[in-house]
Amino acid sequence: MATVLVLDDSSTMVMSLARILKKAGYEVATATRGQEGLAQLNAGLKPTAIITDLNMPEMDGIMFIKAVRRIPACRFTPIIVLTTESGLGKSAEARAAGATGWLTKPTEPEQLISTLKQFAPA
Amino acid sequence: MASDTVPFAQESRLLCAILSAQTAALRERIAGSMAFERLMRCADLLAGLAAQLPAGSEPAAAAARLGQALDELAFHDAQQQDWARQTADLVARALSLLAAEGDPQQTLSPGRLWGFYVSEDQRQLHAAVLAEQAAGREPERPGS
Repeated sequence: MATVLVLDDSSTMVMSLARILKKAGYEVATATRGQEGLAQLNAGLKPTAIITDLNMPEMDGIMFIKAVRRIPACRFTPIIVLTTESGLGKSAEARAAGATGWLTKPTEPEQLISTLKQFAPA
Repeated sequence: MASDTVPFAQESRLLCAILSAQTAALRERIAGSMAFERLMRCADLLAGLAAQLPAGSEPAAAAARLGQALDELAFHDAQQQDWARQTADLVARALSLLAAEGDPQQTLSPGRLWGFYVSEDQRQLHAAVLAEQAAGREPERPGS
């Protein structure tokens, strides 16, 4: 079964995303801090895809994506940014850092799953 | 000294107007976002009910559909909460800078506030307040 790592500093968002993804057939790992997510990856978690927020304290989404790309096993793992930010500049910055996809909040569960399935079938 | 005071007071009023509008929008969003936990609880109850019903029956399917709808509502609500939380964060950050206005490195301007935003909603509201304020001041300008 495909595993998705969900990173968002809002625990409400993490809970809701995990629920939606599990119902769509994914295993879900969660983190509310970038360092927490990186620790899981460095400990051997090999997600089929990663969904990350952008605006987070301490380590923002761009920093997290760059750090993920430095982990050899995650160099090509699809990373989808799910954020309130819709500015083209931020999107370009995220893609330059290594993001694969971009979704702006609020989005619909169908849109999220559809985007995820492009990169990681359940 | 007096000439320094007048522009600062004008800018303070402008900042207060922007922050007031942002907070009002935040309150509106929060008012609709308290339902998240109740929605999750209802979805769990429905999942429990569906598990008690004969598999494949119409009542079980109906309970599953209702549970799915509640999950979707909860997802939407979680995103609204996220927006509200991030707006509250930026208001708190801006207010803390205003509180430390004696330090030139810590001063806040509408342009710097613009840099704090994390969504187009926030930028559009900021621009709307600037436009309203500019329109409101227009008749007071000398020679206008």
